[in-house]
Amino acid sequence: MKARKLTYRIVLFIILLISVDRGLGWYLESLYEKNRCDYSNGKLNAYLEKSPPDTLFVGSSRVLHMINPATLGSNTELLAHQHKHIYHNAALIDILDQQNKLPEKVLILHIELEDLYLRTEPMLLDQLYSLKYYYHENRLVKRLIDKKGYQERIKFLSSVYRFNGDGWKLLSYPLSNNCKEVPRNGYEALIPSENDSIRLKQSLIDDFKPMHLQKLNPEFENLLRHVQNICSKRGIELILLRGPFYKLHPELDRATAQMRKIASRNNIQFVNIHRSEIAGLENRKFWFDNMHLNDKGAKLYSNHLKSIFYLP
Amino acid sequence: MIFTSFNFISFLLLVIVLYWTLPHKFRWWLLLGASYLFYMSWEPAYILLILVSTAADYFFCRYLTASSENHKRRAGLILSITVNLGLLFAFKYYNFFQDTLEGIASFLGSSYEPRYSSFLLPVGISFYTFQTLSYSFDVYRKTIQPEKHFGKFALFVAYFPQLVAGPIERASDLLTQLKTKLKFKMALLQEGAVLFLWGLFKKAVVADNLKILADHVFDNADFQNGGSIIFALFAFTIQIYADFSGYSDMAIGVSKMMGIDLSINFKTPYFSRSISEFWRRWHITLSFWLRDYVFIPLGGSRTKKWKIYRNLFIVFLLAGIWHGADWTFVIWGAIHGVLVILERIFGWQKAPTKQIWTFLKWGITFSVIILTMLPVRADDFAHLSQLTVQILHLNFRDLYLGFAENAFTPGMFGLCILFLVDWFLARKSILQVRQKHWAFQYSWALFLIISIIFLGDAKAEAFFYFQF
Repeated sequence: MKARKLTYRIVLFIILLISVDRGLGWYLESLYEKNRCDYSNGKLNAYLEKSPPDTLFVGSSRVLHMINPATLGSNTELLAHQHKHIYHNAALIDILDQQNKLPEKVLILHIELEDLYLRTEPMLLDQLYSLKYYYHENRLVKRLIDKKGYQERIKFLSSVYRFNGDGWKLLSYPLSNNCKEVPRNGYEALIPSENDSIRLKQSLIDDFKPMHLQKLNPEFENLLRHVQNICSKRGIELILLRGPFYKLHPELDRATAQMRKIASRNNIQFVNIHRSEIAGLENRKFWFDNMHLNDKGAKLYSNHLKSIFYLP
Repeated sequence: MIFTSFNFISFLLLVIVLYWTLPHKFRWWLLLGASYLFYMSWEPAYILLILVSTAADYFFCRYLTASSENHKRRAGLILSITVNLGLLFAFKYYNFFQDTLEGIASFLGSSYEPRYSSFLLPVGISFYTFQTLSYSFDVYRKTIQPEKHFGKFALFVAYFPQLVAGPIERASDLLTQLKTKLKFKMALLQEGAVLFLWGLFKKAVVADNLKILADHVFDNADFQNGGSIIFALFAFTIQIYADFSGYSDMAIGVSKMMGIDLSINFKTPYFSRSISEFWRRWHITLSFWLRDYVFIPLGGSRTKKWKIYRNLFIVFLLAGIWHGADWTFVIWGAIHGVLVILERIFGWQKAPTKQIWTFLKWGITFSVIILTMLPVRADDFAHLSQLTVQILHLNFRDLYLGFAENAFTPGMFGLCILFLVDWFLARKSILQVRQKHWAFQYSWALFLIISIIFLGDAKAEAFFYFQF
């Protein structure tokens, strides 16, 4: 009798667990789809509802804060996210392709040279978590997330897990009216401040620790090829871009050469911009830290890009 | 194979099924094999350390019991202590010792080239070393009889639920239970699973989210003001409690599923009204270990006042150095030692008669606990000095959270749940949850699972206390 009672309770518990998970998952999904604020992929949602631009820059904070599309031309946009590199960005391009939202003419993919190495793969895989929503819908997202291990497949049995991370904002931000709308062209300026010089000094110390670049990550080239195939199929020109640093770690010169080799092997144009190419950028006042230009620096850099890419 | 991984959960399910299926006489084999496998999942070679420690304690304790002559008995004990503390020194404190020699040489105007060991710190070495030492002391004092069965003794040393982060068990409790014939009860699984989930909630939702906040501030200390650092210290104080007590709850839960009760390691320590009370409610098994095997043998409380104070100071220095091989931990232990001595001198521990004094004492004690966490979190002495200077620039505006902002709300939500549970549900022990109605327990488990899936930090891994 006791055993039967216990079995009923456990069955009831499992039914309740599945129901709550599915119910909450469904509700979060409805909020996610409506979201156009600067969290839980609101930026991507906002981009997807517009008609695609002629030129699109995809990349990390070094695109988000350093390239001002207003300088480049009216039909240029950014779809860039803080701390997101090649795995995330290739998956994002795949999603855009799936939704017919790739740019009409040129896709400029910003790459970081650390993306080349196996050592950084765990970090690159972690960055994919913000695309969890597309796990069941996009094969590339699923394949890359599954690289983390078999446990990922188990976690995604839950509907709610797709909103783990900043998904709680979908529930709480509408109540608090805390919606920061995403900028129309995707650019977020880093306003110059007195902290810039301290930050630049500190980041020079941090960025100049020995890097010990090791084995190349074959997935990097696979993803580039994948993006190249998508672009060729759509007749879009693909350009790989790497932006300037205030000071470049000497070990990264070797990585630049490897990057160039991979790009040329796959017939992709690679544009590597050095600080010295842009007049004025040697001045510290244009820098937020060693890797990022502030708003004033971004204007100089964007003008330079306009001249080399001949954008309309 | 940490408790929060799917590998561990699969491993645990298999062990539990086999454990309850096998006849009693084979269960110790299963648990010993599982425990060794569990430990080897970190670094296979380090199983040798456990084997050496096990063999040394087993044979030295047999040797000291076999003899009635005092000097032989003492020799057995000294050998056991030497092997255990020798391993601990070689693997945990050797590099710290080298750094200290270098520091002394430079202070004296001479030079010393430190010769570092390249060994990784074996997970949980401080925990199992202290557990085996307690066995040797108890056998020497004739509190317990030495265990004759080598396999069961080996299981006592390596029992996987508490092997890497405690609770530090006594042979009189754990070894006895490991030998007791147990019958399967579904209620054991149920109780254990709920405790495990509560521990997982503390780790994944509270500790891991607050860790993101605290790390962000401490790692960007140059841009932080005193207010931010105090906020981060608060977050770190809760993080370390949720992390360690979460692990303890999970360990107790796992063991409970096999019918074996482990000691309670935390009794809502942040509700303490004095530092002395805090140490009776925080990492209880370590505090009691130090009380029984260091403080009392030194003379305890039944001696002259200055000797009591000296003994207390020694105990807290040891507690500090046990936690980490760095001077920052020694400082932490010393500060707590001085505070406990001051409490004794000024009679702070006496229970106040008025509610307002109780509340004030709690507030002051909690603030002191937060501030004294600074040496525990600081990366090294230079970082500690920098943070101490910055903390003096009190300014609560411009809290710079950056990316960590995403962890703020889940962390605070988890903190509120933790507070409510500690306040209403588990004033004395989290085990009280089992006395609630089944419907409450099931709803509680449901809430925990959904919260972990939705708010837990999916990228977090190790427990903070593994480094000890």
